[in-house]
Amino acid sequence: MSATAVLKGSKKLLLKRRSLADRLKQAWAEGRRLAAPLVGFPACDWLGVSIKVAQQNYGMHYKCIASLVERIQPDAAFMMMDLSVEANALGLPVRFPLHESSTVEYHPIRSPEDLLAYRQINILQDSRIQSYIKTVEMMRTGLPEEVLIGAYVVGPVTLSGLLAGAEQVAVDSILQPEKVDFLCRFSTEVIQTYARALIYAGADLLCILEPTAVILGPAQFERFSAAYVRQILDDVHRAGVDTIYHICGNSMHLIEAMARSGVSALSLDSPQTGVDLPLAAQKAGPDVIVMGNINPTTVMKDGTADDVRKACRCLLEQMRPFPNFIMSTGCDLPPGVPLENLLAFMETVRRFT
Amino acid sequence: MTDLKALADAVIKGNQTEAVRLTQQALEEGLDPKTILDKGLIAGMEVVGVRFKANEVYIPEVLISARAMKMAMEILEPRLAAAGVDPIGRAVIGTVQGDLHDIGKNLVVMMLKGAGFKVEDAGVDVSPQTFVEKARAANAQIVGLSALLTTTMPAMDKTIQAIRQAGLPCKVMIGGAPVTQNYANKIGADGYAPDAASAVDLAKSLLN
Repeated sequence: MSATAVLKGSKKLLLKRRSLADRLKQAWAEGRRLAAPLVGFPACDWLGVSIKVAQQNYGMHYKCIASLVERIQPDAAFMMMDLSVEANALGLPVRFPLHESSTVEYHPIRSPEDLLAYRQINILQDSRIQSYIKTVEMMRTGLPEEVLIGAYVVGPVTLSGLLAGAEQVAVDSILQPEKVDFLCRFSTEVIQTYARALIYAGADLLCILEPTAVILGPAQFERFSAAYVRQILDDVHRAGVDTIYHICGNSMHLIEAMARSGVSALSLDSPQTGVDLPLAAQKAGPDVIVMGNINPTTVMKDGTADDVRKACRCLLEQMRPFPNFIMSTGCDLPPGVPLENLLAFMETVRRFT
Repeated sequence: MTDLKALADAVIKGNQTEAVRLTQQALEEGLDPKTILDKGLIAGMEVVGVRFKANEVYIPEVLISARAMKMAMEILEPRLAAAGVDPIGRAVIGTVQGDLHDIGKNLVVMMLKGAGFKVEDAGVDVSPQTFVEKARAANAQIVGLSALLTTTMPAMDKTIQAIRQAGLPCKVMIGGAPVTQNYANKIGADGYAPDAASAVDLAKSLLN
């Protein structure tokens, strides 16, 4: 079922999607910048709940996100980042630490034949998948109208890496590319199913998390990530939902391929990983939004509020020539980021003219 | 006479079959195992490391080259040991307790082996005590700690403290996505490397 089909025949058809590009144009015309830090876990600190509970209890998950929105008032709010939810729904073994996002413990797929059993699984009937969908529904109905609702899915290479092991996928991308194509095709089908459900639940933005793909060269990235992401976008964009390609680490060698994929925005990691955001914006061109890239640990977690202000002002100055820029963090903020630093981040963006 | 440049090229291209064949042939011809290692296998991996740093090749190509070297080393290692050839250094590398990520750690293991180190791969989710035991057993000069999660970074601190308290004379280097030079300074690590190729340079410098 396509995303548009899901939306038709439903009262959600009436739901007006909030366009990232329109919001950006409006902000630019008003002489301000949008601010959309990738943040969820720090709310667990001040609400006194574990990440494990927040990731498994949609009521608490929503409470954390609502609390963040109330306190820092971002332009977009995302559900908590979780790279294991799709793999977990497929039955892979997952470890749930109390105060860290869950992690897939091992990667059982050895051959395309191993995937046959996985094809029988309807991931939408998985309890954790349902919990995330319900969280997005609650964000849609509970958060202020002006806040864009962001949902995450993993990317095709990342899910393939969770299934078969990132190292094996990397080696096979050169030696047995057809095997990786097979994995990515399967992964894409899983991602599309989940993406449609998140859109139906009310997401305005779909952020595709593709950290494993950073290990690939441009040619392999185009074949195994961007080409499959394009298939995901077909559905998503028809539903009027914007898309973000998020890659951790130094993705400078992949910017052109990421931009060519057709996504609405690129979300890039911090300068300390080697990402030069102004250069990335030049490479991406004016038609793709660029988001980033304050360091989540050295600045946001370990820095003082003054350090945050300084880093934010510096980045805002560097990005002044680019209307297609959204102020964000280089990656998801870890637990332990002080509220004071989050407020310093938002205040600096709001005051910058 | 076996062309050691061809052996280096086989490693660079990641051609396992050719790397093993040429290593075997060189040994049968009576070439000194240390010369085969230095001028063939290590020379090849050095080129790969330089190309990796220059963004001419990427992690998949490095892994394939490292695997070719590993296969050739399986037949070369017993001959090196029999000839009494010492590795350039001894290292124990692992991902710290609570962290299951291994690709960065694996890459460092392979690159160090490719540079002529004897490396014990301690695996993932390694406790401070296990690092101490493995470093002691291996008589390690270098211990390498990897972490991908912000929340597992404190395990690096604990591991360094355990190594120091045990009185082991080894140097400790750290790396991983959230790790920085500042953090290395803060916890008293002897060095930080941002990527696997740099980790080899760092390990070599820590030996001196």
